[in-house]
Amino acid sequence: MQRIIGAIALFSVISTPVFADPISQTKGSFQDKFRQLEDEDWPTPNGVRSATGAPGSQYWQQQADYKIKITLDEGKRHLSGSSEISYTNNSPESLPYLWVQLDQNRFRKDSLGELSATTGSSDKISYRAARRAMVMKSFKGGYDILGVTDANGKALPYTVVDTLMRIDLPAPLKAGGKTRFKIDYAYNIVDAKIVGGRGGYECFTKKDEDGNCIFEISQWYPRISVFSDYEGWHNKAFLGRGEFTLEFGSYDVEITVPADLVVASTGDLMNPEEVMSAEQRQRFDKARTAKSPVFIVTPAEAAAAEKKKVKGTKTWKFHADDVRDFAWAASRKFIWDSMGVNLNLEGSPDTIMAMSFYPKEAEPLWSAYSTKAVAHTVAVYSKFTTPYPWPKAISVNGPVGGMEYPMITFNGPRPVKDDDGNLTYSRRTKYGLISVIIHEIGHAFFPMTVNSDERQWTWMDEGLNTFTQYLAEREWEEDYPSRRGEPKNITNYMKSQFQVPIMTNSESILQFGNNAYGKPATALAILRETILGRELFDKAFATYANRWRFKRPTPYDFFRTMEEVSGVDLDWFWRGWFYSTDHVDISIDKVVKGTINTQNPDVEADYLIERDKTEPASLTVARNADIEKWADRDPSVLDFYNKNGKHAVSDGQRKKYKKSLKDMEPWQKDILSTKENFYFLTFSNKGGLVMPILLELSYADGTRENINLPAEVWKNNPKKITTRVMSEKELISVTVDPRWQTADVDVENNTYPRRIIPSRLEVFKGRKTRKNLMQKMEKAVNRDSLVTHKAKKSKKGKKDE
Amino acid sequence: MNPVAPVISVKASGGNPWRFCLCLILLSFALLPKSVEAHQAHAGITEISWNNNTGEVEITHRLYAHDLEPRLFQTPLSGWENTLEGIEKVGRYSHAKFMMIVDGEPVPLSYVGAEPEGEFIYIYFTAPEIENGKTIVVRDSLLMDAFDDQINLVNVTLNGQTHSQYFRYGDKGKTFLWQPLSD
Repeated sequence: MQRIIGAIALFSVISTPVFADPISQTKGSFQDKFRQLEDEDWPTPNGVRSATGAPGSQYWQQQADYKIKITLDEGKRHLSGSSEISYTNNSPESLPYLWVQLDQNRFRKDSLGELSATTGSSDKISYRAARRAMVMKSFKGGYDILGVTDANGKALPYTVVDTLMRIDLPAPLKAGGKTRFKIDYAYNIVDAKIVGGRGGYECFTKKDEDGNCIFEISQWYPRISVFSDYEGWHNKAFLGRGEFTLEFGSYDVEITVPADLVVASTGDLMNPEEVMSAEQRQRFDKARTAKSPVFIVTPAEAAAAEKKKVKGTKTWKFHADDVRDFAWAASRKFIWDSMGVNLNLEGSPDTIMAMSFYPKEAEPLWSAYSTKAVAHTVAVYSKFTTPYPWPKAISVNGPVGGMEYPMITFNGPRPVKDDDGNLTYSRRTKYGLISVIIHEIGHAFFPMTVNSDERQWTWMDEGLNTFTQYLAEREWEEDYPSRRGEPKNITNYMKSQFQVPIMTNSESILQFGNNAYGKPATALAILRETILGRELFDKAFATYANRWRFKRPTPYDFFRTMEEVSGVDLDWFWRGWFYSTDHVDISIDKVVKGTINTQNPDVEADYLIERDKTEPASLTVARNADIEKWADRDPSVLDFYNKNGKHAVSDGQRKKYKKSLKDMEPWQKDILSTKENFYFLTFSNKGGLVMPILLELSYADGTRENINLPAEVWKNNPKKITTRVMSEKELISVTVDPRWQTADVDVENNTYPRRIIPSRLEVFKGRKTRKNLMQKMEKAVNRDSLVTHKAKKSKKGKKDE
Repeated sequence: MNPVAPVISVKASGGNPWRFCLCLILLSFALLPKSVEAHQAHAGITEISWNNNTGEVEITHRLYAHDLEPRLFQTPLSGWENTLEGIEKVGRYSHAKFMMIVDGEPVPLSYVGAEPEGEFIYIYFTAPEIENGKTIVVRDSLLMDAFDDQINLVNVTLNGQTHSQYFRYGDKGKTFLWQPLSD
């Protein structure tokens, strides 16, 4: 058995690297790092997708409008309802069937997602995994499809395939046609804290807790699958990681919940007078123009609601236009605050309501930061990408760590209580919260407005969003502790062996966070600051976002737009950062100084004599100094040549020089008399990724000069190149990438002559000697143990600065 | 931001076949929750290298502060980096969760210190020189007692060449060839 497996494995190893590439280098080992991607990996442009990277003149996408009625059974943690979907076929194809996504089926015990999950360990299980396994064993997950009917109420045949459902139409839906159908359904909501996922409930049922729950409801209604120009029906099952792409449309949603629950949702609230008190509506109006968040539901009101359940139900009605998805949250625990944001941008509503919904357990952090972080994100992203299109933006605290939907996001961080009941939060919890809110609200732009396909290309929304998150964090406060975006933070990952290119399908990615978030974010930060510069980059990036606002881009549309708008060929950059697993490691190997031969025999003789002096004298000659030589005894052997050294200049040489000067053009004379030095700098590319060479030249007179060589220096030899620098000054050292802006993984080889760069650990040790806490506290440890003891005092009191 | 859960070990005992079977049955249901959310990733990176100048082996762990701090400190407000106790606690934890073994013997690791930087915490250890050509076995379970989806990447960089191994929950030791003087 094992042998057979071995043989199969071997076969697959041998058979995988065969690519059907019609163009290949079959002699030597030259790699063309600048080879154009157009037509090689990028699809041929067509009427739908233009060669410029913009949507073509025949661009189309489907439209799906929903009318949904849903009821939450709080006690049973169960949802039931019906969705009426109006589907418009804008494609040129005729569609005999429609595919619908049933994402809740991922929580069926026999789902592709559950069955394909593997364990890290071969003999251990964590409490968490064991608990999940036990909960999943008794949990009945997935949809109950109660009926699929057409506009006339006639049953339509359907087939469920894992997280997808095919609905067969009585007659094909013609190009330009419209159809309407209804699905009745129900499902049990998952316990998000145990089962995981991007929605679910969390109940506060521990000792000293109030017993109430928070419901975060997402992937809750059957959603029409995407039908696109490049993939037809998108019917790759939801395995749990590769998120979504969806069709735009408008939504009318009626959510029926226990009367005392507060609902946060995508869309405009259509019946505030039925679900909010007069006082709450007044506060909401006040919030529109407030400079800081105003409570709509106060902490005191939320606390009172927690204590007593009210009988009966209420229906909250919402309407949304131009959204690709719809999510909501409900709880009687919710405190609700809000403030208005005025962007004064065409494409944005006059006032965007930034809002937060959170339980008391999230306080005091949430009322201090959440809504302000939402407002900040909406403003900064609108500046760099495309104006925020909707009237509200919500951050909800609940069981989900961080997840995005149109107008609404779920964010997890809360302060913690210690054993003594003290409420605390660390500096990093605070920034963790602000960062996750910026990130998830940022997804309102990528992919909720610029509708890329995360099931296929995670980086297109996560990477672009993490990059823009970095820009927004940098504008929150100076020295904001960003985790992704700074080039030096990605080097450990970039040099590691186990990684896949960014251009890899979501489910196959190794090191998800580094691959789909960190590396593309860093690549774009480098593209902005170092390759294109802010002006060219910002224009191209905003053009991409605006071109594809409410449309569906592919990676090639992004690449093409960035090149076309900036006017810079970036195929080498995409190849290096997005298509390969190369890293940046440029080494300066050699510097040779050259001066011009003046051809003046006297000058050159002096030069040669001087040069000889720099060489050490022969050891034998030196030790023979006291020995009497033949020539000492017999001077007759010394002749003309002994009087004129080996560099002696003859009159003939001088005449010849003068004659040649006469024949010279003035520019030739200028060259011969120049004081310029020519420095030959040799670099090798150890990481494989071609990048510009950023040089800092230090001269003997104390001055410095920066020269940036474009990446194209590597075009004829991507491994080793020599370039020439001219200067009258005496060059004493050369540094490559002195500001660490290219993610060069080994900075030891970035200087000539080599300088020892202290390791991070050494730097830490060095700092420690200046300002050492242990020393200040007069404590010390031994080499082999962490246990501290009283430090011995030296006689001389050393300065502690 | 995922709940901090302790880890139990269901070790397969070689001497008791019945117990071994029980484990396998339990494992068939033990699907690790895929809790990679829209921005979350529980990931650490450890760099091991030889410092030519000091003759020491340097080990630098980089972990996410918001993952490690709740695991170690109930009162993070004080700022562990400003107290001796806090610095010691980070060291003790990392010392217990990371090990290098040469010739069946653990390499003695000396704790140098730890510091937060941005969203990361850097933790430093040194070890005495390891003989050229030895095989080192690394065991890394940093933060796996908090998250069963923690993935740690260990890079051993010698002479500019990096060799990498991943460590997931339940992984045993993994080997690297220690050849700082390969040329």
